[in-house]
Amino acid sequence: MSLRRLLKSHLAPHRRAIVLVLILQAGQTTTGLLLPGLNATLIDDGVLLGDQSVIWRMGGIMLLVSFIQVVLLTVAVWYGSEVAMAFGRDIRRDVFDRVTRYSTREIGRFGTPSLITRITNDTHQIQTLTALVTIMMITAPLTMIAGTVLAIRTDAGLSVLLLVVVPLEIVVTGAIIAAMTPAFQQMQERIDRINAVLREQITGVRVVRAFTREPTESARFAEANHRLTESSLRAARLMAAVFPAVTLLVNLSSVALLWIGADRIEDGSTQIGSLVAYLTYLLQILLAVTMAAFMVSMIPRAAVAAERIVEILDTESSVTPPTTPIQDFTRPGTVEFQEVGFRYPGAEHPVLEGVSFTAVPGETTAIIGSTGAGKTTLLTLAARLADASSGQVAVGGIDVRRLDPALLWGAIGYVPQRAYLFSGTVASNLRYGRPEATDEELWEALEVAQAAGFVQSMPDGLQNRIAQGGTNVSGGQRQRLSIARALVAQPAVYLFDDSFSALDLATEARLRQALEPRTRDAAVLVVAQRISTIETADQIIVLEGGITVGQGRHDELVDTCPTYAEIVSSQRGGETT
Amino acid sequence: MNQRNPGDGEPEDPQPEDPQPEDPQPEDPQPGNGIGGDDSQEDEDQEALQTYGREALRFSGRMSAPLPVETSRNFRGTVRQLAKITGRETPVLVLVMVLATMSVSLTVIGPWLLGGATDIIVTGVRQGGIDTDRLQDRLLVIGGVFALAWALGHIQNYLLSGALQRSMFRLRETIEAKLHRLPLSYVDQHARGDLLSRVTNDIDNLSQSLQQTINQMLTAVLTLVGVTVMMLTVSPLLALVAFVTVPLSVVATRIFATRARPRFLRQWRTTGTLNAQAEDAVSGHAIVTAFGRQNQERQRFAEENAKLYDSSRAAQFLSSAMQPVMMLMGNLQFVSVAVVGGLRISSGAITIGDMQAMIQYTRQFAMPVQQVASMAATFQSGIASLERVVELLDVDEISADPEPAPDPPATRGRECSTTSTSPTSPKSP
Repeated sequence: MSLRRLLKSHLAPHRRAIVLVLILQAGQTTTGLLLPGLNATLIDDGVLLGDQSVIWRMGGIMLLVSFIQVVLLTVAVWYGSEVAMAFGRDIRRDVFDRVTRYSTREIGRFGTPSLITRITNDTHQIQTLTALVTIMMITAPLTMIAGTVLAIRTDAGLSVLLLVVVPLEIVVTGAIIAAMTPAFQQMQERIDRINAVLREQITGVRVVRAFTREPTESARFAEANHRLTESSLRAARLMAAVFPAVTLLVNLSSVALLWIGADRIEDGSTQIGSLVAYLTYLLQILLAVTMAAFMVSMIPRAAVAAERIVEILDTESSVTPPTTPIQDFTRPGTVEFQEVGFRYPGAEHPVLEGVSFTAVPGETTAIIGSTGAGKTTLLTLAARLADASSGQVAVGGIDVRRLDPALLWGAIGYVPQRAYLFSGTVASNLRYGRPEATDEELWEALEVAQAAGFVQSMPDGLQNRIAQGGTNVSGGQRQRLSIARALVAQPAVYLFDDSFSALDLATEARLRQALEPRTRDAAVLVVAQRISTIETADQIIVLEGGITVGQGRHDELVDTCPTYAEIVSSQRGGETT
Repeated sequence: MNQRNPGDGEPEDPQPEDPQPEDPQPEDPQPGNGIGGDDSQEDEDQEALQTYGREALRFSGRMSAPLPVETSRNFRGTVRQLAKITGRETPVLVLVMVLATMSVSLTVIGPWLLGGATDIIVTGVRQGGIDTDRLQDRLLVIGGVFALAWALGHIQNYLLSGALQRSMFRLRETIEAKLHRLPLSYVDQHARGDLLSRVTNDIDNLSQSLQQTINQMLTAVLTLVGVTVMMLTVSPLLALVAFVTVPLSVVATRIFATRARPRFLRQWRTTGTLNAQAEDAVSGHAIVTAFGRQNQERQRFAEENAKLYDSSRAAQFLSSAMQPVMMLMGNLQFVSVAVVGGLRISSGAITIGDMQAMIQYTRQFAMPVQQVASMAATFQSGIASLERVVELLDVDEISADPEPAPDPPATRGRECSTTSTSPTSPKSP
């Protein structure tokens, strides 16, 4: 079970604190349960024999015991809180660490929203349960054990009753829990569903508004909401049944106790004080079971959460750093693909197959092809966001799998298709790849990226705020800032993934012209849709279904490559009319 | 298990925004967005602004001071919201109250009746023979009373869970409707992770904790009242002796509760910040990796995570520490009733049955208080979440204009015009 594994692996560092909590809780419970026994002596030896000194003495002992119990419990609560929260913190850290090591392959497999829920909500669930266990639930079995022992010691004859009532109690609550587990599981699934709907509504808020999809979205939500309410209700009603049922059991067993006790007192085998003490034991043992039942009802939710966390911790990144990383490039600023292939595990068709080319400093290699041709994948392989399934990708003359990742990523300037900006400021985003860059350098990069104008007109300039994802600037601006960010890093290899798509032709032309001097010592790989973007490239690779169907310069390809000629004629036709 | 659509990470294409050249203040000033009013706090953390988003700061900055005034205002609004979402359930809730009162009354007279039965035994022993018939009749009556109490309690719980779940249904409905009426500027200017955290984590936490606490709290409070009445009836003297400890525990509860609440609020705010950061790192994964920034991201997360640990631990301890306090109270009551009761029996003022009943009452008195105390942690955490949800519900909405107009409407143009947050460069398309 995932939950058990997670507890095992992540509670281990806190073993000492846990043992301490256990000891404290055991001590606390036992001292608490001494009170009814002491009270029995007070009644039998003090009250019934009319000895006031016994009453006072027992009272004093009881007082002392009370204080000891409270001190023990306070310390137990302190360490319990610490353990539970440290446990949550450690899990959160490990999950996040693992996710940051993932390649695009694993990110795509889990999906961004799901990963975020796992990092935050799922760990919270488990943390809450751990807190309840260490602070309260742990006392339930301890109370049952200590209570039963003490009860038998007080009067073995009366414990027949315990033998009947305690198992009965366990069966009743057990049955309710058994019914509750699937109900809770279903509820968790439906919570996931409703969260997914809300997530989509928030992330896609512009699309929803633009297409007046609110009624559709609301209907979708209403359905999920109904279904959730239905299963929560089932779970809640089962849970609500526990407490009255247990109370009834406690009360009826008290009645039975008096009935049995009356006989035993009459024949002198039981004392009145013991009878009174027994009533109290009974109450406390059975209350402990109720408490346990209540807490156990939280386990299914935590188990689901644990499963999702363990799934992440069990997934190794498909990109692993080399054991003996190479620290130097032999041919800086080059990118070489040799018979490179990429396929997803279990997928029927490869995404890329047998792609070979060399990009050298100062030259531009353009990649063109229809959607799904494998263009983006090609770039991610060069940046080692994923590893090739076959063949070899080399950057700076060295296989990327053998390069020191810091060296590789320091040499790459990546501009993704979906320009993502981080929450912060324009400057913090631009400095992402090179935190020590000066303001002048930022402005230079902005000039090249044709972004200086709009940054200047922002109220706070470089310090202007950027919302998460860069949603407060337009698509074109985001693209240009993303290009500037890559420029600031001064890489030896530029990877532009359809990065000029949101720019008009004139802006794009200016940008490319300004880019030229900056990329003299760097290889440039450009994925593009527009012929105008790539026709001046030193080398064009035409991809179709993951396979290179043409490779050469514009003039050559127009004549030799039908796919390319088709793209050209469709776009040129569109431009002239 | 987790059926989220991986493709919905981001709005595909933010529509090209029309420049609003006449708009002089496209950015921040957001007079009516509920979580405004704390701008002064932001100045403290200008440095962090570089690395964290301003959202993150908004929350973390606000956390640095307890801000009692502001939170208490929120608290009132929160209670009002709670009343609003449960409003339609009033008839059911009234019935629940009636049933609960009856059920609890029957339950609390139990120990007194049992004490009577004990007295029958004690008298019987002293007089040389127990009146078995009388004892049997008595015990049968007691059994009947308990059974009736159970039946009523069961129905009460059943009805109450229905009312609560329906209320949560409506709250979720309200927040969803609100999402469609939020100004885009609000969505833009607040970390998406935090917004998501409010509508998912917070709502989830709220409904969970209410479900766990409301019912128990209701029974507990009624039991407290019932037990108090019974104690005063059975033995006013012992009752007064027992109640000496009450003011002590009230004060202690007060201290702990007031300290725990801001910490829970802080815990949930830090959660929001952490969520936002996780969202950034995961959504921008390709950039984080290709720019070789994983270590920095991990470190940043670790720092925020450590903050969350600190606030969670403090909140957890403070709320759980009410438990030992309540236990102390219960124990002191037990001891004083045992001693004073013992002395009074010797003088013949009360019977052993009375003392037994009083001891059971002190346990029953301590128990609901302990219950409330332990539930308080969960409840407070839920209320902290509700406060965050209410903050969102209080955000000024876009006008009720049915058009999904991308052009700023004249009414309430302030929020709407901020949707075109970026002054577009004259050169740009």
